[in-house]
Amino acid sequence: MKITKRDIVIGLLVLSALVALRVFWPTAKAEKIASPIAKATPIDSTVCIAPTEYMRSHHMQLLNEWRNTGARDSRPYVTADGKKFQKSLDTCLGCHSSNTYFCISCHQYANAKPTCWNCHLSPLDKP
Amino acid sequence: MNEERREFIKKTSIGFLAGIGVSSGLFLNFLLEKTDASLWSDKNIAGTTRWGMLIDMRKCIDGCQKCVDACRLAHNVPDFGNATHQIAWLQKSPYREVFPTSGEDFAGKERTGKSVPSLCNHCADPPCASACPTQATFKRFDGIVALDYHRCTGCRSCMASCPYGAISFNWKEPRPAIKAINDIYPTREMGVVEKCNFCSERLLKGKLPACVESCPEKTLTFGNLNDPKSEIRLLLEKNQTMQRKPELGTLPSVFYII
Amino acid sequence: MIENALKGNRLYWIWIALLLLVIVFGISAFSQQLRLGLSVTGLGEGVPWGISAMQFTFMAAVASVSVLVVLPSYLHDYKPFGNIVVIAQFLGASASAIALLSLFIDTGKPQLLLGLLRYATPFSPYSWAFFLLNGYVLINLVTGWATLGAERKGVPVAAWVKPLIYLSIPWAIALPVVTGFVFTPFSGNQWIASLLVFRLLASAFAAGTAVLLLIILILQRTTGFDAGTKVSDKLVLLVAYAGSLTFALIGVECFSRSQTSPLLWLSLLFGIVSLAVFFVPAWKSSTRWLMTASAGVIFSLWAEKGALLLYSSTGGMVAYTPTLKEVSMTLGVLAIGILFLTILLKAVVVVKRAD
Repeated sequence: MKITKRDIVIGLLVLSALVALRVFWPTAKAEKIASPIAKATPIDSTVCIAPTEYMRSHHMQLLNEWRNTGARDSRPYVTADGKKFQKSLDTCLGCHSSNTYFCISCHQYANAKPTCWNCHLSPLDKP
Repeated sequence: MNEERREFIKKTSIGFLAGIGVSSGLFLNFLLEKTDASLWSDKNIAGTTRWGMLIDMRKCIDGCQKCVDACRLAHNVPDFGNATHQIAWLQKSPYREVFPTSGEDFAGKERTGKSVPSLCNHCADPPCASACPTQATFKRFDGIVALDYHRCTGCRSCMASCPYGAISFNWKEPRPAIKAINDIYPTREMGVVEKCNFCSERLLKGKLPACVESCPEKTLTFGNLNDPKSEIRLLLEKNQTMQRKPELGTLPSVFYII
Repeated sequence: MIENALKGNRLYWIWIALLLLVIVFGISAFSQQLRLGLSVTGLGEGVPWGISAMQFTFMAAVASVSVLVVLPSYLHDYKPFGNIVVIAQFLGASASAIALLSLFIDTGKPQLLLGLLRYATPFSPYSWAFFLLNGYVLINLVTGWATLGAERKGVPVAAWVKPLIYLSIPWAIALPVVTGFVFTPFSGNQWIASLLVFRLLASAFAAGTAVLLLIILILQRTTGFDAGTKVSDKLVLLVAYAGSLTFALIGVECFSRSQTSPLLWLSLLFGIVSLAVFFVPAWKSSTRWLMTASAGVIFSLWAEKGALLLYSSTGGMVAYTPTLKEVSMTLGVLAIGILFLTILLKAVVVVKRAD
């Protein structure tokens, strides 16, 4: 097939129309989230996020996801059965810091060195 | 040879353009942010939030450090006690340092002799957020320019691009330099930047920022700039106010009455 | 080809040992920085970037020189440059590697640097610089190595290499442009800001060709590899053109700032004196003079990048003195790059002399 100038021009026009459509397509989502002060704290620090067995094996995945999205996505974390949690390490520590050695005893045994406590205050650091 | 080269350039450029076209269709978030046509009609839209602050210097007492101390305590901001490595979210600096281009060079001492609280301006068009290579500094839905310490690489692009010097870097391990640890807020670690977050963690609980709450003179007013009935909007309507370096077009959300 | 790096005369091994020594000093300083944070450097409040960032800008600029050799040689079929294409490509690869390592030692948390690829954003010039430099190292290494291999076997370059080489042309021009955007906050007023990117592009070509000329002259003296007078004449011409443009723009900046950094005046003075050599026929025919003048241009443009960092992004000038540890780290990175280049050039020289 021979590509002529006309084909190129038509192609470019179609492409730019598509791109323009994409750029200027109004999406209602942008910046239309109501003030967080209005609907007060969804934080729930009194019940378990997931069954103990699951948390024991998968807490690092969950915490990693919360760490990566927590700062920029203001929506709370919703579990499969509809419970809502603020994505924050403090949500967990609300209960679990009652045992000062809750995190460290296991991590020390497994020689896991998570970087959480570089910034977050571990129950051990708290006065 | 010449013909071949021309053909090659033709085909590759078509391929390239087609690639861009296809990828912008496939990856909807690729390159292009979501847009909202109504955002262009007016900067202030009712129903959305843009947090802002108004600092009334007529009420501010010279020598009072209550807001600065409250901020340090609320966010575990370290105090190294030397100017080179200092970290501050909120500080009081001489008028001319805060407003070097305000055109008040010959104004009397009662206006320009005071030290003025300065903090991150939470600009509507923040140069730090676009300079950040990992989007660790970003503009939130409520106008707060937030920092995600988890992905800050410590490149200091944001510090270089901030015309207000509002961002500090942890040149050393910060924990030993924190006088009293506040156990409801994390510290930072060596090698990341930090700055004022408009107390977003307190806003979440329905509280006002720590500096606003601590001021005995009600110098600081905090509120939603997009709400025409908010206290801050009423004050902004009635008074002549100014922003820091407005000529740069960063659209600060912190206003001053001098 | 790479095995030739293990064979060499006395001078070669002294050179390698010297570089390794500098690298060891750099690594020891860097390990201290990892422990104590960036407080071991002379940086601080109001001085976010120092000599390491300066080396990054300079080397990103030098890296782009390969385009000045690749473009005439591949698009305009200018035969004499065919002889030094590989050298230019390897210089591009090593210089971008130095620039990348300079960024690496300058970050607070270098272990997170790969996040720059994961969270890359088109709005951040720093993000662009990181992405472009990584790509440039790869493109130049691959195309350079393939070209050299073909040359050794005496066969034409494989067909897949050419598109990559064409790709490297816009890539190279983008490098100084992007670094110019990174440093825009330091440009002070809008006239200088508007000229900055353009000036960095011109100074990139001046500095790059000066480095390339210096390398070719050094190779001529130490290894007997002769690129030919046509090549060095053309490079002299390029330095003269790009250099004149650069120093004209630096002059504009010197006279349009209310407060000009003394380093920029030094750069202008050194630059104009060195550039004179490239215009006087009697001087430019002497290798010794040319080498000195190239070094002068390189020093001058190094100072130009340094002058940029002495301006505060909040207005005025900053007080900044690099510490010894900072200097050893920066030199260490430079030495790693030069070692890398030496090894690559060793292979080039062996192949070229076998012809």
